[in-house]
Amino acid sequence: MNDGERSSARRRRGWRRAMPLLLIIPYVGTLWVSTYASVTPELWGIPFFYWYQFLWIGIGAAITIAVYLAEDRSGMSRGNGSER
Amino acid sequence: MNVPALAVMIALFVLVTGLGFFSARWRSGDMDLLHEWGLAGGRFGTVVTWFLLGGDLYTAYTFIAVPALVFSAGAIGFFAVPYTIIVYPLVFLVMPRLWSVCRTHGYVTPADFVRGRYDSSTLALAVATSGILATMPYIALQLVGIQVVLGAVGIGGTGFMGDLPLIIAFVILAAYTYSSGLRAPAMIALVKDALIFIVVIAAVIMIPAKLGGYGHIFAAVPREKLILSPSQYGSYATLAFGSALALFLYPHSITGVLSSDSRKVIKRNAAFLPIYSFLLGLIALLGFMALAAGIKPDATYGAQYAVPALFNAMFPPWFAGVAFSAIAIGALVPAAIMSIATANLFTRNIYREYFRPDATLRQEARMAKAASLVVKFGALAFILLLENARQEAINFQLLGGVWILQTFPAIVFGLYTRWFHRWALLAGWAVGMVSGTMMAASQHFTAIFPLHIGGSLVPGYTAFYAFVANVIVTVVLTVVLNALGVASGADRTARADYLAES
Repeated sequence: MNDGERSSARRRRGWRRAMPLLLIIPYVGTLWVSTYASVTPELWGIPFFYWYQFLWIGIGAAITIAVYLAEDRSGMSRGNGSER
Repeated sequence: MNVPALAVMIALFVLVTGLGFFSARWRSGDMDLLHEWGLAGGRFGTVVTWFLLGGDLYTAYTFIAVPALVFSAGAIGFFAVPYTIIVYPLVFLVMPRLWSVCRTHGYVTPADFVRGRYDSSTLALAVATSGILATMPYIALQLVGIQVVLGAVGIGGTGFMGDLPLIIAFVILAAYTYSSGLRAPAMIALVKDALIFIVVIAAVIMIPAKLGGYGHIFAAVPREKLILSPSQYGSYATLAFGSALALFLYPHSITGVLSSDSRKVIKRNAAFLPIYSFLLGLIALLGFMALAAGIKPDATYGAQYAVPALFNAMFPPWFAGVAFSAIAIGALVPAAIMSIATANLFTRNIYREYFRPDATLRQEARMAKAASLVVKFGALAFILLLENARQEAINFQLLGGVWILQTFPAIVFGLYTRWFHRWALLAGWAVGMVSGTMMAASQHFTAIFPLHIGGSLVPGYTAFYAFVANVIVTVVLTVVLNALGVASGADRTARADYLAES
């Protein structure tokens, strides 16, 4: 392995280690209430307040899945369990 | 009396009763061991755990109370949605650590872990009692859920004959929980969740069609219910955040987590349980549909009757029966898991710790089975015998949320660091318990406390404020006790235990 490969591998590991930080995003999206407590824009007659939060259910799950997959893959590439 | 609905309910009840007894043979183990009876041997994979936790966390009471709150109080009741969004990132990070350390050391309850980590049976007792106290009214509320739907098919009412259906349902539940342990609710959860999905999907399609579409439904909601006022933002956020911190501290949640067979199962569930949150959001909207359909609060059951009344008005009788069965079975699953979890706590952290330290594994399992019966019949007696029991159960369940959150520092902080001192954690817990209870009582058991900070008024979730007080006391006393060099006890866990795969 040459230096270039090694540093890019290190960068990838750094990225993967930072992935769990993404889990903070749903907290910001849902607990900052003043940003979404409004009726407009409506979607199919549903006020913004409601459809916005429904949207976050999907975003939250997508983030969790992304973090899970990143961990899973980094575990496999090192040939041991998914945790460390 | 709604005869088709009643017939459907009886048929489905017979089905789940059969499943409950049959489940003892499923991936069978030695029911004379607490670990087999109370955690199903820790062998549940991703799918079973998903159904089990779904059935466990999204209870009958949730399905009644959340839309009832939206119906009566409006937008604030929708906090259940952000609550069940932000709980899962936390589960993803924290619960695999708890699973690993419990698996390594054979812990069955969170209090077992606290005992091993901090070398303090007193702190473990504090955690165990909070768990038991918080869960008991929760079981009682599941009974309230059943009562409401029995009322909706017209077989509720007063006197012994009115109570009889509830008694029968609970005796049968107690019998198969006794014989099959955690396997029974796990298997019944499959039926419950299938029914709930069918009912909710039918409801969110059929009911708006009858009421002229979602636009019409929201247009019928008064403005002050439709949207939060700026003064409610803080309450909304702290209700969601505090409830999310508390949910997985409940003994029944932890029992569900510990029964899974790997860390991966827990992580995958953190990713896929939000499907139930979506369902819960739809259920919350039923509160507005009831408003739009012109349903009025019931004389006996109040706003809690909103959804059953909506189903009666909108569904053909037999399908209303399916819906009511879904709610009633949705009460049996968590009631069973809660009673098992409470029994585990009592057996491990009170009976074994203080009364029979030399109890054999068999005695331990026998004690837990007996305790699960006591817990269930205690809840039944509470609901049937106490004057105004429904309201009392709701008040206590609110307090339960306050109490269980006070175990957060000992359990969750403890999973990451041993820095906190055991006596500081105990003092913080006590301060949180007392201050939270007093705050709740001063507001006549509503969840929001109007805190005055400086000159301004900041209303927020009582449990959250008590938790903040708890953490401050814990941190300050830890610094003091460590500086004084007070013995902090031996830690029986090692760093690697928190990451162990099996």
